[in-house]
Amino acid sequence: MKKLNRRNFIKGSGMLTLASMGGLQLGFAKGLGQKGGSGKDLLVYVFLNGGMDGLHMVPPRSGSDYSEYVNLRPSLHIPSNASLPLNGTSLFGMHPEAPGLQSLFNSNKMAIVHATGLIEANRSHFEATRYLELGVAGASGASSGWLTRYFESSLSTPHDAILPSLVPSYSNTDAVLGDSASLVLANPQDFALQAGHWSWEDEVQATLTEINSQVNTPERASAYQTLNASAIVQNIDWDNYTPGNGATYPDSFIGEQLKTVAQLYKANVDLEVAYVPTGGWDTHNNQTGVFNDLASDLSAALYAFYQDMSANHSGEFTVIVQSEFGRRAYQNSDNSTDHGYGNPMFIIGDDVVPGFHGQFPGLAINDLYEGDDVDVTVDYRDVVSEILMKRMGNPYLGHIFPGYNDYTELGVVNGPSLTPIYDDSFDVIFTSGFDD
Amino acid sequence: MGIFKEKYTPKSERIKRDLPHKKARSKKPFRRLTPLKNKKVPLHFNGTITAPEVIHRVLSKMAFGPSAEDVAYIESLAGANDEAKVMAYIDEQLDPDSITDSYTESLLTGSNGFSTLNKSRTQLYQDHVDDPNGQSIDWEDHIRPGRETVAATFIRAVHSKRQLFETMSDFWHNHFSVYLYGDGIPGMFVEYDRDVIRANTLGNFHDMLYAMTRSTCMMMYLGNALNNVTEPNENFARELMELHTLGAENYYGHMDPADVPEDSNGQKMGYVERDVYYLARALTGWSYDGAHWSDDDNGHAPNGNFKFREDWHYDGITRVLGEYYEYDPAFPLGDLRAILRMLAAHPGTAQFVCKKLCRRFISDNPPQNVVDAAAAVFQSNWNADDQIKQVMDVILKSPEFLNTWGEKIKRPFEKSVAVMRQIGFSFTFDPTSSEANTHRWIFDESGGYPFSWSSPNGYPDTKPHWLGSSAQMMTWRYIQWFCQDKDDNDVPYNNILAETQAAFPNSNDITPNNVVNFWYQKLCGIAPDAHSQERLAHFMSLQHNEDGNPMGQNDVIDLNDNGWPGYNQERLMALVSMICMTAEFSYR
Repeated sequence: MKKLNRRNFIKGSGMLTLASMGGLQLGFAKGLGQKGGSGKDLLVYVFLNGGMDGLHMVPPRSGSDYSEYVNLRPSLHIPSNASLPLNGTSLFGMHPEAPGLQSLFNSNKMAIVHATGLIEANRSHFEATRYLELGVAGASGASSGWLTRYFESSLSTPHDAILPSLVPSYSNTDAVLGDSASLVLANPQDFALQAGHWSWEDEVQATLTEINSQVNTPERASAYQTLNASAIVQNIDWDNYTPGNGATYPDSFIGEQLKTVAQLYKANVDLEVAYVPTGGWDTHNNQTGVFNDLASDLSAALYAFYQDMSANHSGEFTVIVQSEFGRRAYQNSDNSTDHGYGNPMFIIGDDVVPGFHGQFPGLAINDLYEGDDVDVTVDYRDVVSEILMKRMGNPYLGHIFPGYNDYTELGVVNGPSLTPIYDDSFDVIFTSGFDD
Repeated sequence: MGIFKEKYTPKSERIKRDLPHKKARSKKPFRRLTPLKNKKVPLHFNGTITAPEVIHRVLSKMAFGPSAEDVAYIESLAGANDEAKVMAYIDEQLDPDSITDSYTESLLTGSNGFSTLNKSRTQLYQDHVDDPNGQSIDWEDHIRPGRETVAATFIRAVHSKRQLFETMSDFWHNHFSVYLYGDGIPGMFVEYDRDVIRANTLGNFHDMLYAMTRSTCMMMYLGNALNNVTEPNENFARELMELHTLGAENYYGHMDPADVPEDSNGQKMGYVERDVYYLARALTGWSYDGAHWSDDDNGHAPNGNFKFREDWHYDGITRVLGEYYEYDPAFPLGDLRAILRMLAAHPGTAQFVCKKLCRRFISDNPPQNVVDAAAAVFQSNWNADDQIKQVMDVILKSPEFLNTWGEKIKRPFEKSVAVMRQIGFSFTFDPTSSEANTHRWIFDESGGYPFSWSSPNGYPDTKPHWLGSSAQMMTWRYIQWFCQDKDDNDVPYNNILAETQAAFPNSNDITPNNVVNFWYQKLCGIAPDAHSQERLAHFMSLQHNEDGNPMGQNDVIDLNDNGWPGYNQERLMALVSMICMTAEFSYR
């Protein structure tokens, strides 16, 4: 079988949406239970919707940054004797409710990149989030998400991958815009048509699947995908799952989401990317208590996921944690914070280069962006791109992030170095259907 | 995904959620549903979307679907042809007070379980949020106004004769979106729905903007109630410009205010961070009684009404979009009121709001000529009492509204309600009934439950969001369930059987082919394509014999027999629900 660049196939078809669903359709021919064997990591991208307060999650712990921090947030800061110590640094600690993250960091399974963000500041949730989901630097006419373009350009994703991407959520995300093969599901146990009457429980699904198999519209394409995915999802025993290493997922939505990712991955359905959105981080009010709960849930969920996955899949997964922006360096009238700019990203896995990366720009008034926010010193695309190249084997950065042309390696993960390809023109190999 | 935290039901509680009519699944080995191995992947969407005729189109777009009654009503109106009758219907709908709606109103009363819809703001606050005697309020009492609003929303969407008023109220709820499950909000939601949204639905945009700004719910939701000049909170100020008025397309980010371009009238065309900074200050002190712990000092019982806290208010000069606004203690609300008027009258607001309206009613990619025509009316009438009605007159009478089809799909609420309207769904949504609860927890999974989008930008209104597999599957499950749902006397909450029998006076005409053709045409407004027709008729013909063999697709089905092996009546309801799950039904 020829190596198929999904993007070439898609270009040849002239129809992005339908072509990108080829994977799931052909997946049926392959059947369940066979490992995809692509040899690259599962990429789990956790998006903290609302603007996670990086200065609260990874607070300064000593030095001038700490004294500036206390001045900016007299009744909100995490005291240096309360934050959790991190190996190799006295400058920053971890939020006291995030011992799981502390443990991952201190056991060299986690990297923290300081002061990342969009290259142009934008304090709108909806704009900043959209730019990140679409993988664009600002307002643009992009009509597909960055993960859609990741799959389009992936040379190593099997074109018959069964369920290559998952969004464990009620809502769709623009990160997979234009990719109807992406599976969006919140509760896998319920992801099935109602049985209805026992005498036709399967006929309803069969009839609707057959009707929609005559794919002539995007609506039929997505209905067909949903029905086929449902047949696969129903065949997995979701209720009887024992996480590896005795891991315990917290009883929370993020815990359920990450457990779903692990379960689906272990079902050998070629899962390659999971986009995990989790909200609540817009802490304009009551930040202390709200953040405690959020940090505790996130930390426990990521810790459990790492434990679970590393039992049998060491070195086969990478987790990225990011938010649309950080928050204002100083507190507001409700002992909370408004929208800001620069923010840390977390990378978790067995192949990270542990510790802190990038440059913390400082909290003195002249170091803050416009006197308000932690500045951005690292283009977030540098971080994501390094993982896409070294862990996912995809160097087509110009296609995934339109307009991006100055990749700078930070050294946050180990892996083979590739040369970034910014040129967005490929030869069209296929001009008509699959011929395998 | 919202910026607010997701609702989460622990699995231990979710186990109870097994659907009432769900039978145990047999433990059969996985059966491959279609032999795909030799199937070529089709490369192009070569299909065309067939449009139904005008009455079906219009009732699918400006109403929540073509109920038999409303179709018959339009056909009864005076007019030379269907187009003329539709124009007469639009005129009536633009004047909702002229329309009698007694059945809907009869369902919104105490006899159907409602007790909070007529409470004043003070009553809602003191009965459902903060008891004046310091007693704790039961959770069930706290959420009751919110529950009743949701039930009323279903009732009105399904039954109201003022359908445009209902689709427009839904639009404004999403424009000025408040998350029903935010802290304190369920107890006050009746007031938000009634006095902010519905009071102005076809009225004046500025009036709605002003009422929204002063409402307890929005102040609870975006936190302006505690916005104090000592350290202002920007949350509401930002969304007020980005989501409620000028829109993100008129946001110039961190640009120097002096550099923002001006239009031909010398007005700044958009806003920058500095404008957010000043608007947040102008909003300081705008609060409600009870928001601060000191409000119950001296034996005062907080009442949830608007409260201006002068000592919290910025007393300097603000500069918003290049204009100066000065605080005047003689008119303490004057500075912000002037800013709200400026924003409501701004051409950027007219464009932003009208584009959203055209996106809701015409197409995901709204035609700019209609947006411009609507925006011109919106702006020149910004102070008129019937501003929104005038704008809708332009949009609804445009050829683009009347003629387009399939450039939108029904979102979960729209789709579910459309099914209810088309099958004569008779459940009354008594908010105290356990049945209403069941609707809530089944439909909630669709991600489209009313007022449950946690972010302030409201439910998305374009196709890609709702083509996600979760929204599709969970909406299908809901439709499957309620199409089969029956009352305590085992009588279905639908009119499917009676309508079928009425359509075929000669019972020998009730065959799989005829039943499919009748219901498909009625539900989708078009005839089924040959493949769909054959598959659906095949389903109707299955297992009619004791040996499990299908009957002929032109053989007669006895609809008086609901027993083994055919279960004819239930099979008919399953057929109807399946047609409602097709792509063709999803268009509007």
